Amino acid sequence: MPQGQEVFLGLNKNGVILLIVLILVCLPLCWLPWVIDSMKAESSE
Amino acid sequence: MSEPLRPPRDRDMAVRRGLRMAAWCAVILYCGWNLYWLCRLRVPPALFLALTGLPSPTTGGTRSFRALCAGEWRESLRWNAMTVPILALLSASIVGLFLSWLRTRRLRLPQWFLWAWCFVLIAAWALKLAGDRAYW
Repeated sequence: MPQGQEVFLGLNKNGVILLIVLILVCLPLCWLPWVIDSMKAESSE
Repeated sequence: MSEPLRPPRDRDMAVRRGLRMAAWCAVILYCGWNLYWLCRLRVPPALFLALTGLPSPTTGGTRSFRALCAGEWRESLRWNAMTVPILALLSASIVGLFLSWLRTRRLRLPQWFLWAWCFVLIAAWALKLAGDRAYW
């Protein structure tokens, strides 16, 4: 389930931390935070 | 004199703002780095290697795969010992996303994929750092 408030492009805090790590360390896997529910923010609608 | 403690809500907002800025900085740094090298008509070197002098978990993956295809499995392991598990997990992720799209019209992976990726990448990094520096 998506959780937490949006921080960056639909991701929550944990998702953004993972995204930053992946950008610096392994860019080809940058899509991972957007397909794992616990990394996504709750919809604001 | 110390500042009074901020309420938790303010602190949470400040953390989110800081993370948003850090994410933008990482994106801009990555794009700028690649544009800089591409404008000089050169293949951009790995950002992490250039910044830290250390290889990333997937460094040597392409050379490892090429060596594997040529039947040189020892050389393949030296370039990146986790190439086969990484490719297997990547294939499983693609199949999982495809099945998820067929069932729900959404791209989702179960939580265990995250732990599997963490395990594989940390193992790949440890093996890479412990390996021969000539293969970084």
